[in-house]
Amino acid sequence: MVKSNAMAHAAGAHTNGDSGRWELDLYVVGATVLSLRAIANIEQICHSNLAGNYRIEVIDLDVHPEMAIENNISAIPTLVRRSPGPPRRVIGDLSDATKVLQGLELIEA
Amino acid sequence: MTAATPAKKKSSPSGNKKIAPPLGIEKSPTGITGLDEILEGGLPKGRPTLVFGGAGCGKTLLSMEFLCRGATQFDEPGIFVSFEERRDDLVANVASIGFNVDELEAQGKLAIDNVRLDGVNTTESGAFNLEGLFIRIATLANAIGAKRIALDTLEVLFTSIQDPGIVRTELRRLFEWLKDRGLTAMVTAESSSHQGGTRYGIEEFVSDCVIFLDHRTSDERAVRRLRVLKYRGSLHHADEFPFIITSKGINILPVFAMRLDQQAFSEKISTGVAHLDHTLTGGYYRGSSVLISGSAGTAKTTFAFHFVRAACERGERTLYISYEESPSQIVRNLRSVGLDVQVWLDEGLLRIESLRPTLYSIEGHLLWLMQIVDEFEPRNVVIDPVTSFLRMGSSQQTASMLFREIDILKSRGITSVFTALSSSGEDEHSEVLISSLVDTWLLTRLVETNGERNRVLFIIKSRGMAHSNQVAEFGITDHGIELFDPYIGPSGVLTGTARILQVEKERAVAEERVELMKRLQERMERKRLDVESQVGALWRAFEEERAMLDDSVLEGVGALEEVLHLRNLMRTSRWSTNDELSDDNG
Repeated sequence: MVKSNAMAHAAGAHTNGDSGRWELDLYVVGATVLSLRAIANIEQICHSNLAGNYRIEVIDLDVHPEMAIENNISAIPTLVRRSPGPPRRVIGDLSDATKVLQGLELIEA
Repeated sequence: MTAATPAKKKSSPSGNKKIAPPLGIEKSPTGITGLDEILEGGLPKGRPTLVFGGAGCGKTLLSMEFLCRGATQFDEPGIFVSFEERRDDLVANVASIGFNVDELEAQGKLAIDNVRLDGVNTTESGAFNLEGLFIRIATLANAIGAKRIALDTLEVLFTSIQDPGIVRTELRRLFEWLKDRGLTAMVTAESSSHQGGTRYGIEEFVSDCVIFLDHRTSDERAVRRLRVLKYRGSLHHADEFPFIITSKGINILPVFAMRLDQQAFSEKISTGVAHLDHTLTGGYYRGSSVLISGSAGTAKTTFAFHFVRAACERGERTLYISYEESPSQIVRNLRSVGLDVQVWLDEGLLRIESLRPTLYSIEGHLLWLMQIVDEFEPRNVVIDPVTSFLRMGSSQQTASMLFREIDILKSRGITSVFTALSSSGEDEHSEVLISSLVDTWLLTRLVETNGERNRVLFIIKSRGMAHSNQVAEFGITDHGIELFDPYIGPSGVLTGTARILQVEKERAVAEERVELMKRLQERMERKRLDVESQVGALWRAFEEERAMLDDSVLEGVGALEEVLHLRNLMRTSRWSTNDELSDDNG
């Protein structure tokens, strides 16, 4: 449910070419307050900072529990920057936008 | 939980809690050698146990072995959640104690999850929880039907997560969750540099059972020890127990295994010295312990090897531990007294291990020995000499180690022979300590008399058998030890030349006596003959006398009869003439 919702956001978000696009995975567990807050926060941040050149995939571990092991996810929510590499992670409900931008290396720490 | 057992709570007020621990607390055996005995059965089933200690104390291996044994011995699959070591390292590590992780995983008995908390590449922003970790554990637990879990080392969370508040909340949640799922958990943690706790206070969350592992180095010797600090609702042994990591896993040696309930054998086995077998009415008891003590050069080793020879001849594997000589030295020296042990070495019946006593700690030695015993499975063990340990620890420590050693060997039905070097007063103390532990104590001694030193053997004690208390002298010949009958005379025990002289002297005295008796007998015979001849002479004289008397009596009688006859004649004639009568009256 959450995943499809996120996918919809991602779908309408690609304007630039694939080369410089930001690929972000957001792992959540169920439609909890924490999950919803994290989704809202990352969309807000991306919208403001990546100008549509991004794709967010929300993965609900309740639906895909095996992905927790596959992708080494312990903290919930966890945001993973898959591209550009190398991978970086931001954990939490992403309420501190500055920390998120630092974590994604969009601004200097 | 409180709601589920209201009646129980009512009936046992808080004051009674300590006195009456919950009976029959369910336990999960670890299968680790010695640990279940210390824990009186195993870890609390369905509850977490904390294992902590310094770096390299063996906590990862302990938790891994707990899972592997659970999977292989108790049909309880397990999950290993590694926060530090990589899977490959773990697999290699566990292979060193004889478990094949890949195989166990393929059989669905074990699952490993490497949780990597990459602090450097991770930024925290706002509130979070560790639900992902819960999902991982739940996924694996469901996949293999896990009953056990190890978390090694959970406290990495404290270093990789900035907010310790979150870690605490999540840990509390995690342990509740593990208990709800009924998983028997082993949680490892680092000990703090200060005494008595973990670095991040994990014990706050795990309070059922706490095990402390120690890896100390004292006098350049490393000793591993294990101690159960706490076991809620169960008996346990609170002492420190030494352990080693062997190719068969962790091996802990509990002292209290000394329950004195070993099976007593009635079978006697040869000491290897015929005369001694006779003195001990058949030899040593199988599974008993023998101490051969004595000063330097009293053939203790040779005595021990006679036993070894007898054992090998019976086809029994025998382990010989030497703390003084190298195997080649031993073989050479024994050859000089007619004992060829090379044959037994070649046949694999005899194994000689030589090492410096200082190589390991006292406990280390014990564990090392047990490892060899496990591998070689001997029926007899000789340790020569045990007093070497006095150089490393107190006599009390030495005795304590031997106590365990004897006990463990006995419990396996292994006959053990220890030699002990006695010289100074201090050693004698240890000798006494050791001797109380053994069943048979032989004392060899050099007795110095008349400028020579002779070897004597005392049987100080021999439990459960009749034995001679006498001293026996022995010699070392080119065909081994030979015991002589003891000589105990009016002037004490004689040995060596003195014994031989005394025996000779006695023989001379005896011969002399016989001679004297002979002479006396002859004299008496002569006297008898003398008496006889005298008696004969007297008899003859008497006979003669009597004969003469008889003759005279007869003569006398004849004369009287004649007189009477004449008188009668005269009377008859008087009656014829009165004249004659009156003449006669006048």
